[in-house]
Amino acid sequence: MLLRLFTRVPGTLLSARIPGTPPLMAVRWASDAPRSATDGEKHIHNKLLQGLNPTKLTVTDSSGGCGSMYVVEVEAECFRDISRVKQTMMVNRLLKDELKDMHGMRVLCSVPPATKS
Amino acid sequence: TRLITANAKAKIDTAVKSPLVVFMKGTPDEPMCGFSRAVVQILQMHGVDKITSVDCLQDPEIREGIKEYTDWPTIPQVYVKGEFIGGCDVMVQMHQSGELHELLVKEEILPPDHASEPESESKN
Repeated sequence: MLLRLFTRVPGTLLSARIPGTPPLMAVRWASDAPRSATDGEKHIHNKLLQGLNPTKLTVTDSSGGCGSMYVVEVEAECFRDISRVKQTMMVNRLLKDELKDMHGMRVLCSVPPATKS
Repeated sequence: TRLITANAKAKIDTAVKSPLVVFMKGTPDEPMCGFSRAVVQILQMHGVDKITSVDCLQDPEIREGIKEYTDWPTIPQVYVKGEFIGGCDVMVQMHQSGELHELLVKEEILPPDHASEPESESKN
């Protein structure tokens, strides 16, 4: 019987941004042992951090560390009032080179809650 | 660099003239990729019975050409009335928000919503 290696996608929560402090790195618990970020995840994370100034960002290699499939969740102010396609295109553009080596990439963009006045 | 051949561009130009077309891996009856399958299922869930599609696995020129044509790195890709709507993630989000239904009705892929208020259940 084949063991399912991951019943949830293991991943690393990188940089829940707290204004005024450097990004934290935390590990999200999965059904197997937690692991630290892969080089690919870190690389992509940094590119998107710099390119989008996100308020929330998770980058997960969902291919078991092979770098062939990533899931990217980004919340950023720069996405406000932009169509979903254009939001994703902003992410795609930043990861143009990385995409060449990937089989696929899931991109989930969102906008931070409107700031209170 | 131009990665799209004139042949592929012509085929894609023609394909996107359809009211709705899905560039996918496999066919609606036999999707060959989970993301392509998901897009087909979402459309079927919304009542699109006959899905016009292009099987990108059958034509390497189109498989690469569509990525250049749309400036979008992945397949599946959904076009409605010549406009790129999105891939699987966008379709899922639009499905969840109700935007997809609105779009399909607005672009006459689906019939207009009838005055769809259910009749009052009162027994009087």
